[in-house]
Amino acid sequence: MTHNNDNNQFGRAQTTSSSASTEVALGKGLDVGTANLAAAVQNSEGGITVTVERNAFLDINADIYSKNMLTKLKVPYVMHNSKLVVVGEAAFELANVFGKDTRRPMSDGLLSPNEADALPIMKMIISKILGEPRVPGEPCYFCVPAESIDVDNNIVYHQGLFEGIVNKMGYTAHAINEAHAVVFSELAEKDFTGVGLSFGGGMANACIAYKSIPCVSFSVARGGDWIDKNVAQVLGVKKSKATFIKERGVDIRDPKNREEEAVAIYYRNLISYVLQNIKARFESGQNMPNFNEPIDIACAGGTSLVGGFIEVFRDEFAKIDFPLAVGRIFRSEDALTAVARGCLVAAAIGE
Amino acid sequence: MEHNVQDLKDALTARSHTATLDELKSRGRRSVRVIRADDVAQMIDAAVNQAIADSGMMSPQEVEELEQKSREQFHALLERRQAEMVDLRQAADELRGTKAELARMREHDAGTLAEKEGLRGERDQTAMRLRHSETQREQLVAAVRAFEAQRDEALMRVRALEGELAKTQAETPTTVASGMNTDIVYRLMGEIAEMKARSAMPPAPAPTPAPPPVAANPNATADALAGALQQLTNTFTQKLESIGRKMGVSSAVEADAPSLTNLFKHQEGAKLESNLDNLTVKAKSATGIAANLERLKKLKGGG
Repeated sequence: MTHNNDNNQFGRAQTTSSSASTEVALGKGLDVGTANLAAAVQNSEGGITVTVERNAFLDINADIYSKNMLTKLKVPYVMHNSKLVVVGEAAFELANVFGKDTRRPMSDGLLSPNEADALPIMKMIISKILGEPRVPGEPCYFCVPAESIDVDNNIVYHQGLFEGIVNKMGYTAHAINEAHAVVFSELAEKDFTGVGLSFGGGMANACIAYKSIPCVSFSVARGGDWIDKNVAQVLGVKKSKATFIKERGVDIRDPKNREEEAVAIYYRNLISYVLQNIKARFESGQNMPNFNEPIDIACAGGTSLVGGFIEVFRDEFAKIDFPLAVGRIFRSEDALTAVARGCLVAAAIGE
Repeated sequence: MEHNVQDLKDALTARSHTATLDELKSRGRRSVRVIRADDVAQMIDAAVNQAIADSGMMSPQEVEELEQKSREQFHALLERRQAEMVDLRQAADELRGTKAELARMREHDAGTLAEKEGLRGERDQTAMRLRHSETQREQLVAAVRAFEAQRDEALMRVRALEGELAKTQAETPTTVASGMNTDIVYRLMGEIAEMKARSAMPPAPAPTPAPPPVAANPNATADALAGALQQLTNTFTQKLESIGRKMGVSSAVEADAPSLTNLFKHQEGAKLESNLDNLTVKAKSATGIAANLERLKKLKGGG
């Protein structure tokens, strides 16, 4: 997980080189994730610029002293319902300092019904990372999860709500399946044919695509938060603390202590669960395509950033009798921004 | 005489130097006088003969005989040189002819090459069009197959429902007039509505394991497949409608996706106090997407 300990700026960043001869096209990509929000836009150098912010906030007492201190430290905050709400990465870090849990506007990949009043704050974060449209009605593709096969969830409400938010900002909003976006960003070399997997905070999304067309999309309601919740339970710590343990540089192939063992156990379980469900979905035969050649599996999403993820994924994959011939199994080189980049590809091409 | 001429040439070569035309031009010489070594030798011979005759060492007859012999040798040499000159001119003519022929052949080769390049370009374009058509065909075939599978599944379900309906009607004759068992009716209505919704959804395309040869006219193939697809849809819809009419739900239509814009109207205008506007968004560069876009455009036939 990419961390930025510098709270003087809003959003987190990392730098990668990129090519320099692309015409800048209109359109923006937005990854509305349970754990992170990310916006991607093409820049004048031919690469893309991505802004990522943690999708979390923390209430603190709204006294003048706290407000002055946050202003002085340039910690992003919003006054809401007479409370001082610290947003983004700063909220996560403060929560760990105070031994509290952050509030999360989303859970299991969708808007959390328990945090309905968090919507205006989330809207402000999105507005900040997305920026103003360059022309009125500029297309903005945002990701939505596929319906889950293990829980009953309401995608329509979630999608409609974010369409409304993005449209209100002056964009023309289009929804795209989260794992389909991974196909767009990671499987170009295979003519956008293969399996895209997005391991997010709330869900794991899968999309099987043939020549860019999604054949089957589904999700399971387990992700990084599920690992955090279980690790927190077995270790008797707050969820924020479990998240911190998970993100501080664990290698799940080689856990060094009890805490890391817990993380590794639940990671392996999550990966196995996702693979078993993909296999079961393939074997059900409903709308399943037949591929002439072995297909690639591309993994992305913040939850896939942990050390040893792809090796454990391959281990677990080898244990199941997968019904299709699979070629390469790999993790995106830029897993945290893969979905936003895929959304941007869709926006630029007008998918 | 011949020996003398060669000696003279050697003597002249030893006492002279070679200058190029450019060097002479640079010295301001626009023309030079040319004298052949033979002429010089002839003059020397004449001078020698004259000197011999004047010396009285040879009789005039001997001198004349010597002169005659020398003249014959000279004519023989001249004829030989002229014959060589003719040969040289012929060789030069042949060389010019060969060069002209070579130039003509090169010109012809260039024309052939350009023609070949043009044909190669046309071949590449045709291959690209064929690939595009092949992709379209594969997608359409996959779509038809998926739809057929859905249709078969749905038709089987329809038959099962018809059987179930007939059985229910047979088992509960008294309730038919006023409506069937409510639970069964609702369940059947629900299943029929679900099947209708599924049939209205565009089928997911899938690849074909062994593609047949490319059709001569890909648009005609696409039209034919689209027609077949439409026909299947119509057949299936009619079947569902007939079942639906029996159940009294034939007029049911799918509603549009609900608009949730009004959910926000109560929150608009309420400007929250924050310091977000004063903070700079920290952005990062990530891997470019130019290659993805190019591939996607190519795949969609726009590149």
